[in-house]
Amino acid sequence: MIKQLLLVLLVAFITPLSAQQIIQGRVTDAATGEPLVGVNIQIKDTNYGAVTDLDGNYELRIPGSGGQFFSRKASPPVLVFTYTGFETQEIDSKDRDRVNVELTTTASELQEVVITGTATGRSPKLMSYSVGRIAGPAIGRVPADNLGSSLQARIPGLRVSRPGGQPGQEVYYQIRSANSIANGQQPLVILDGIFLSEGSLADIPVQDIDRIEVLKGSAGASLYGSQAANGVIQIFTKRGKDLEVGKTKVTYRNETGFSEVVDQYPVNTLTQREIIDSGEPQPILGNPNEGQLFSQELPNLQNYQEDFLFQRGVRQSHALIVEGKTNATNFLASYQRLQDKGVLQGLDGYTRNALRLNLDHQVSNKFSVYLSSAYTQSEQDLIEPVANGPNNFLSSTLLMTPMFTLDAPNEEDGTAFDWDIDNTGANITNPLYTRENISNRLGRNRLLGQAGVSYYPKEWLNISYAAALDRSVRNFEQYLEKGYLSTTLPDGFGTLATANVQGSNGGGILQRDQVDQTFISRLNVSAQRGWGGFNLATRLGFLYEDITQEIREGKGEDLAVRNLNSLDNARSNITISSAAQEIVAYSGFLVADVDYKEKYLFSGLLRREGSSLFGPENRWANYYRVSGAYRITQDLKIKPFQELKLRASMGTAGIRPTYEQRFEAFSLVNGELTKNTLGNELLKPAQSTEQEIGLDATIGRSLRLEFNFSRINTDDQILLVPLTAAAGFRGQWRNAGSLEAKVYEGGLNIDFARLFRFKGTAMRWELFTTFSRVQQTVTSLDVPAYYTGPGAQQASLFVIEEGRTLGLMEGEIFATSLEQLQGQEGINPADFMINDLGYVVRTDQLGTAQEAPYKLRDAGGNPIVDVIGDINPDFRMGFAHTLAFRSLELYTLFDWKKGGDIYNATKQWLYKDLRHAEVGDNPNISANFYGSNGLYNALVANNHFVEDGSFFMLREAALTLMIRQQSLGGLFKKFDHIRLSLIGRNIFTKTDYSGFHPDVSSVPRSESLLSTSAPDARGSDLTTPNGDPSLFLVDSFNYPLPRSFTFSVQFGF
Amino acid sequence: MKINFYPAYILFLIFSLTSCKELDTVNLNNPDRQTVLTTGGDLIAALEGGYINWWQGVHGDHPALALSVAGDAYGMSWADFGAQRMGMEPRTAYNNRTTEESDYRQVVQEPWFGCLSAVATANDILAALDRGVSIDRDGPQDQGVRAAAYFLRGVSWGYLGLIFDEGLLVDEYTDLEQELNFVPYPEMIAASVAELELGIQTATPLGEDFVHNYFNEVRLNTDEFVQLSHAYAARFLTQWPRTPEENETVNWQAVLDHAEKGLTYNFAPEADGESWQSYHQWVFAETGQGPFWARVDQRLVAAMDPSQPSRYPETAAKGEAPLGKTEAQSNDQRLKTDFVYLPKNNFPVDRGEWHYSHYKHNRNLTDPDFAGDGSSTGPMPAFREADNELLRIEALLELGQKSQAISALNAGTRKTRGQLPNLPSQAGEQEVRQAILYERAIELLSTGPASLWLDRRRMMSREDYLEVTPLGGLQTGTPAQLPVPAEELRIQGEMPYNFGGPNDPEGIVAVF
Repeated sequence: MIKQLLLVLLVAFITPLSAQQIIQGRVTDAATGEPLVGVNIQIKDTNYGAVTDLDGNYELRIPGSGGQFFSRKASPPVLVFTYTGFETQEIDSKDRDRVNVELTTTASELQEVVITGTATGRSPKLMSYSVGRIAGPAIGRVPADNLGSSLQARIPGLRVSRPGGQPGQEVYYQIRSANSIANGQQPLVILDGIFLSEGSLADIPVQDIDRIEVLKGSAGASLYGSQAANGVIQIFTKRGKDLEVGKTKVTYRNETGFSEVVDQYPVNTLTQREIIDSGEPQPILGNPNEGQLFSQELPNLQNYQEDFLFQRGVRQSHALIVEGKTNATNFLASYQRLQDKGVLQGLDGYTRNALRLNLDHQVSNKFSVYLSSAYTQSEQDLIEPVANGPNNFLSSTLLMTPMFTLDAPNEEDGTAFDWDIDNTGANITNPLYTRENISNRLGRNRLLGQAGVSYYPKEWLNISYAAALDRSVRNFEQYLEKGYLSTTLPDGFGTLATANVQGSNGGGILQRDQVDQTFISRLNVSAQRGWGGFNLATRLGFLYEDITQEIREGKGEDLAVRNLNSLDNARSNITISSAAQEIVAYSGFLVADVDYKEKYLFSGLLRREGSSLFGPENRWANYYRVSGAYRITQDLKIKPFQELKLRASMGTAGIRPTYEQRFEAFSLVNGELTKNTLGNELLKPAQSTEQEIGLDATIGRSLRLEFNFSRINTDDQILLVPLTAAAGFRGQWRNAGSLEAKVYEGGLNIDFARLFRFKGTAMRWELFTTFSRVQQTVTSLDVPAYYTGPGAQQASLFVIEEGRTLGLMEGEIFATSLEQLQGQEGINPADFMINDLGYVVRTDQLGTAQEAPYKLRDAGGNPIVDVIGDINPDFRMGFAHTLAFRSLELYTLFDWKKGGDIYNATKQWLYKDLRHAEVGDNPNISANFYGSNGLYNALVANNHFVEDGSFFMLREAALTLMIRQQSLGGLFKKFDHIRLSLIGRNIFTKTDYSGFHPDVSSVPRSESLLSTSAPDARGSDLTTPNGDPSLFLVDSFNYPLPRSFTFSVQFGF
Repeated sequence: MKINFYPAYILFLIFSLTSCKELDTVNLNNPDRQTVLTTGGDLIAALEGGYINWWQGVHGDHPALALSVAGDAYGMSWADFGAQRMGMEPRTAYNNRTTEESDYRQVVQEPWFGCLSAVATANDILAALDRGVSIDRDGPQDQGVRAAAYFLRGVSWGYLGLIFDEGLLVDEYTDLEQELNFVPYPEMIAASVAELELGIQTATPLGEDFVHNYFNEVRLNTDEFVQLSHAYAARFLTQWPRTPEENETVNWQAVLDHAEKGLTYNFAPEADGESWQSYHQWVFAETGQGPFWARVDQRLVAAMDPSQPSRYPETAAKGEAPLGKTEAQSNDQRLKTDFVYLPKNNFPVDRGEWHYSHYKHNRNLTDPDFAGDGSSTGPMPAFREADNELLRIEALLELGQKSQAISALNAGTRKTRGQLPNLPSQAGEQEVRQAILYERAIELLSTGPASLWLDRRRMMSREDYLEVTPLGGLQTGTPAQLPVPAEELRIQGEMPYNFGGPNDPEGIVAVF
């Protein structure tokens, strides 16, 4: 200690003698090694500085009177290197007259300030509850067509479900656990302050994104009240803020490539029937052979999938982004166009055009105004969702016996495809005929906007007002061409859509316009003061929400002319319907973030909210949060921790009832009045209470760790309480159950370059790992245990019962061991054996046409129904890995799901007509073993179709070459940079799952049709809640998840 | 420290201007109970909804189809409407579980919930009338609505009594908060007939002021309404027994009284492709497009042509000799007029060849009364005059007036449409009963829902599935009544139970 003191004194005396110090050096890009021009170098705590020249060199002259600060601090100057887009570095210049520096680009996962849920914005270091963050560049490497998809595997605890790979398809989220039994798990999604209706991110181009913040549960998201129990995702778009004053930046990016199906679906190419006629185009099969064995190849064998179903679909996007900044104004304007043909032949896929303008303007030093606006228009050519049975192009192609010449002409009317070519008895309409004659198109126009003013009467005080609007108009059209011949019709169409029925021309049209609008208006008063080591930030806010929906629908059949997509074309069975709803909510809140010397951190919040969705008896709900954290390493040096923070937080948030749950009653369709559900004047939002403990640690500069444990209790679940049929109403939505979840989640960021001390090299090597494990249980249920599921076919697959895990599948059980036969009435286990497929069969029937799997039965002879699967995985992990050397970067994202079952309803359907490849795989087992009296089991759920959904996949990869201006020559000299990337998505999957891909969820019915069923809005029907893809993992002819490879080039000006 | 808050006032002003809506929003889509039941005009709209519920519950796709297959009137191997499983041979129990697949569950759900929600609507309307909601201040329109509501309750309770082992009797005075007790089927039938009579009493004094306009496109005057009420009373009083033994306890005099005042017209609402459909007719309809959904059961083919077997040979499964002559011959002209011969069968062989037959019902093309398709257009005969007449004839026979019964039979459709020879006046009682059942099976096919299932269970003894006769009873193990749906039992805290299958050969003893 004395030695150190002497040294300080010595320095203090000696340094004033050296009149002027000169420090020189060069600043380069760590990634490329190229010199950086215009880097700002400043001596810390002074106004002295310099800027690098064209070669990245600088010279810093410390004035002669420099002694004034050397003597004061008794330490050599610290140089601060700052450069937009790069991490700021501070370097101690002690004993050095040359300081060369390599700057690295801003680390993507680290943002300076968290806005969501806080009083005035806080540094992540000072947060006392967990917040997931992701920066634009991290998701921009492999831009997804749906922003939601970009979040998968990157934020601990955030799960993204995508029902399939249909271009433009909506995705669904679950943050931490499932908190709702019947209302879905969609979080509140906010874009630049705009509350997005239905949480849809399908219209937001990834290129516009600056950063995303995720509040994971009630402990963090209480500020958003009854919309926040499922978490909050807030997205911020770029605004040109970070540019230098006077600079305008123009970026153009093009990405072109293709998507394809990884593997064909395995279908049976054999037959057990005699071949009566093998000629084209319609071979004829006769009766089954004696043993019902698949002994011969189908005649005229076809590969429908290769020839007619799948294609390499072109995928292309263009983006033009202009950002600029002047003294008082900064802005971003962008246009993006995305076109994804998809992997199914004959469909137009998805096209999206998006425009954005963001603008901030400083009117005076006390007044600023801001504007965020976006307009998106998109068009989707859809296959019909398979909610009630497969009738679409994809499913029919798989179900059709592959022996017909599908492009044979139609003998009835000479058109392109013979609709009734299937003569096997399965009567499947020629899928090409379906594709050509039925179209489903969804057009969407969405306007997003927010305008606000901000007023600073004092430096520490801010008053701001903003109004925001999300208006989306969806136009859905289903069109069946005049002359349509098949009796297989889309859901909702009647018989006159088939030509020749009662003299009908056939054909039909349905048009549905849905306008959703969310308007919010909010006023915030925030203040920020510090005194005596305390820092206090508070915000008082008021929020008004007005959410409306209007639907108009018209439908008709028996078209007058061909090719006319107008409702006027319909001549018969014309129906019209409309629906409207309006939701109003008011809320006020007070939030305060306090810290003492940035060491002890506290946050508290109170919110009171009233909504028209709460019954008049429970019109107002209260929410709170308290949280605290202790940054231990501010007090104690604990090796090897650079930073160690312990956190604890507790808070409440809610789940709003839907409009249909709150209000009764009589549904009025086409003037006919029938009873539906009984309204509930006492209904209140489900209430979620979360306790979260966690830690954040930085270890040796190279490791950053976050770990959270949270326990979530969601009470007052909104459930349909069935009423006796005598009441007339089907049921009433009441607060009638509780869920409990335990969540373990973590994130670990390893900077290998620092860990292995790659000094002076231009190497970056980082791995960001996420982990989560969830256990969720129904802790109380005030209704009798019940079954639920997606769509009519699987309506009774998932059991909801007190004391049991949420996500259990129940079904009938085919015995797989002789022990299971113990206690089976009238059964002698000695008469049975296990066959080659592992199922129990009667020994005397082995190898005969009667061989059938033994189904467990109760004493009354009825099949036993018991647990056959559980959707909940053991854990999920994500690995985002970046390896870069100079200007070359390889980025990969791996996604790992361990455990968790999927119900493979696609396979069960394919067993129906013996079309699945497995059916023909075993030459000794008869068709009956698989068919109606066997495993197919007349579509009743059973253990054979439950499969382990584990997978490990390379979800994204990008190889990028960044060429900066300094290295560009000739014509390219004018560019600021050129960035070239090879991009792959869903590249490789390791799984035992037998379907297209294990990362599936149920397909919600995308368009609920008023004229056929009024009460089917999400969450409004118990047996088919119609849209909780997170909960119902059922594979039912989902559009396959494609693999894509693209090449992108980006020019910066 | 002075702060100029002027701009802040402006901000507050903007905020308050944009926030102007009340939290008490109204239901924009659908009228709620308060709205529906406070204006007289809306009572009619609500009652129309109740009639649709009843129609769909009884004539809708599931029970009518599945029970017609179970009653060997129809052959259908498709899983649609629960038909495949209700037609298994040997018969299996109706497995009353909430875990069953949707089509199968709806076999019980559709009639149960359909009839009871119709009753609930009728109750709402009667309660509203009682508390003074009115169209014309207790004038003929109010009374007409009242009569129509009684009728609706009557036919709903009646079908619950025909189909289920027990039902719920709830009227406008029942406190739904209290526990409800299930009522056995004989009581349901008695309540139903009493209610139909109440409807008759209410409508009759109204004379020309009464119009019943609740069945699609069918406008009934007082006489027609009274006739229809009597006819349904006769149907329920006749068809309720589950076994031949119970059939002997039928109050035939009451049947005769009602039938004599019954239908002199064919009751047939119009199909509209939406609410008003009869799938048990639609599955036979000539759509101009194959394949046909259902076939006529082989037992009915054999009834018309005794040289045909009652059971289609299982050639593929058991190696039985194929049908030598697939086209039937019959003295009954209706084989030619009402049925159409199809040389090939189109059901999958692995679902059981017992579903096969070479005939489908084709009367919608040949008989103007049947001109519809059961789905989108035309009349849907639900209660024919001939049906009423056969109920009257059966009552005569059972009341010992055999000769009147024989002469009425010989004057009826057996002769007029079938051109069958007269039944001799000395024919035995059983022979006459067979002739009545034959007529009910052939002439009434595809009219009253599940009619042959109701008749086979009460008129003839059960028959083993391998030894069925054309006009014999239900196959052993066929459910002869349906259990209360498991969903309803769950609400009432009771265990689900089944009927039929090997443990319940008569199909009437609850099996748990």
